[in-house]
Amino acid sequence: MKNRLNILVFVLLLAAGLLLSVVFSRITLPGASRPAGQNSGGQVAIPQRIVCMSPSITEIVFALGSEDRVVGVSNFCHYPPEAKQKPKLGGFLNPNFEQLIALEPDMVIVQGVSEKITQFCQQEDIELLKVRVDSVENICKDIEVLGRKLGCPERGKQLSFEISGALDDIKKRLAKCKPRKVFFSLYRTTGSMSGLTTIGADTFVSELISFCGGENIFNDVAIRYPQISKESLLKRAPQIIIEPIAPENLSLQYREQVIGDWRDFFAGVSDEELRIYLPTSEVLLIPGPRIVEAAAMLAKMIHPEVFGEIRFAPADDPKGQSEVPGEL
Amino acid sequence: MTELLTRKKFLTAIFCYLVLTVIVLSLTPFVGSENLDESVIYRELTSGTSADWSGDTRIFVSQRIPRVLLGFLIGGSLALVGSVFQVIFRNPLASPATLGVTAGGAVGAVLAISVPALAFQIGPISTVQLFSLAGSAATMFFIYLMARRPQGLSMNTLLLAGVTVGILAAAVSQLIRYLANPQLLMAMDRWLMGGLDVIGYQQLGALMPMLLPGAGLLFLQLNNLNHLSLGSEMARGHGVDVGSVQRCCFVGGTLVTAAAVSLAGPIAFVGLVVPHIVRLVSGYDHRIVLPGAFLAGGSLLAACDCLARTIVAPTEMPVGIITAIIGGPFFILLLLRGK
Repeated sequence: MKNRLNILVFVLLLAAGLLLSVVFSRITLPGASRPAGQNSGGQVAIPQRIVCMSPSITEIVFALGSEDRVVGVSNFCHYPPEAKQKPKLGGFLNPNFEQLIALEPDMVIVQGVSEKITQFCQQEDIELLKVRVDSVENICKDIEVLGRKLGCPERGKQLSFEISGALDDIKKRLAKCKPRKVFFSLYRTTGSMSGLTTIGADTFVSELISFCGGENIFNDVAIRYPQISKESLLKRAPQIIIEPIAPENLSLQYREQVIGDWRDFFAGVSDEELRIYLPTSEVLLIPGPRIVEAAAMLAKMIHPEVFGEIRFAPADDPKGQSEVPGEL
Repeated sequence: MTELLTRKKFLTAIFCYLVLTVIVLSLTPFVGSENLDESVIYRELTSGTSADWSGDTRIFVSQRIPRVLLGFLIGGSLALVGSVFQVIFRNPLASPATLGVTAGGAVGAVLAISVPALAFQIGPISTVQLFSLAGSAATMFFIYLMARRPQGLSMNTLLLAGVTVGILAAAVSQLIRYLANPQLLMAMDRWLMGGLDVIGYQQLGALMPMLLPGAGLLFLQLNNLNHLSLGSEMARGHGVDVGSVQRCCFVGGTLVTAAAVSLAGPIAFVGLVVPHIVRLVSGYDHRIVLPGAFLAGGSLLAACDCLARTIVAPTEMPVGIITAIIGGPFFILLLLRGK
């Protein structure tokens, strides 16, 4: 008897739950009220209120000259300096949706896939533009796509042309040089070599390294950011180690410790055979219009005999020894 | 010995919990990272069509209300399951996470996050949710098979198997995290900290087909749980079909937990401590403990989430941190006063 009651209640409530589920999924909320001149259905003629959810997108949109139309950026967008003045919307993973509604954007641009942002834009009837910017080719393509979408196709084409031109120049000047073996250390625990993480072939930095006359020693790894074994690193004997460090960590002492770690690890290898660079600039990690700057830095690190040694800011610089990208 | 409440005391207690709930549910939608103009919202909601709503009203309807409701339902469900599990396992440390269902759900979620190509939406359910549910279901079946006996479920085996499977699942999660692309680790971390950001009402809908029947099964056991809290032999003597009660509690509890975890991730503390708070405040009669825990747990989580989305605005803090920071000292205070 009792069991039957349990089953009956269970089935009834299950049916009620399914019904409620259908009811909830039917609730449609009104989208943002659009100013006249813009068509509905998620398509916007030319967006006037843009939200950029990653640093590379912000850099591209600013470089396209559309900064006046940017109404919000992610918390991580620090460049160009004017981007810091724009309202901050949290990160890609935890955007502040309330503020996003309040800013009334007509286009949200994201890098990669975010279920939550996708759902949000569907519900609010806001055009969502996804860019990939995961390779040099895609960076140039995405710049052109953004140029078209933002109503400045010529500027987009020109910028993309400038970038590929600058990279080709570097490549040409290095045509006769032998590629040097480069290890790019993305992450490790300072003071030890644990959690040693690098970049695989399928990354724009690996691509830039080969543009600049280098060879990523782990470009046979299909994973983008593989954690690698110390044995393989020793075996592959890099000639150049590049380990970006955050500017806020930069002190002479810290720098010496990081370099010391590498010298200890490659004990017996002379300073000439293994050069170590600790760039602080974020350009190496942001796939945007500044990859030309990043390439210039990499070229100087990998082939100083062609492009000249990378210059560092004076030692009395309060931030320590920041590198000066400069011209090639 | 469970002291049963008189009708008058029962009604007073329920009334108090309801008042608490109404206060929390009516105040929290007005607090958030953005300052909303209440008079505008009231005017626009009571008159005119939804097409003319201003930004404030849209934030209120599409963000605040579903989020407060979700917080309430999830907090309530976790506390409800905790209070039931503490009785059937005769263990004050039992919580919705005890049976490993949460850890199993986490494996599914972490797996779905680790393969970005899997990110798609099926009706109101996202892949992360779906995988989380699958992980919970797998755990649930596994421990059910292990604990099944001819005369019912072996609570002891269930408890031990649950804890062990939980540890095993945590190891699998670690393995997936170890192998995953470091860029995705942050997304996994955020999920594992638990959170209530919800967009619109669809996700609330996705919760219902599991939450309602699960909670229904648990609420049907109110009287039986009072007998069971005296021990299963005693309960059998009172004519309670102990095996059936245990099965219902197991199925209902795991269903509700799986649904809650799939949407909000593992939110610790509410399920463990709210039942104890309710027992300390209004006594051990399960006819009041269960509804009391549901209402108080829901109110606590909705209120804590209100803080989580306000104190570090415009960003948000995982709500689990707040529930533990606020609930912990409060519970210790109650324990000290009880002494």
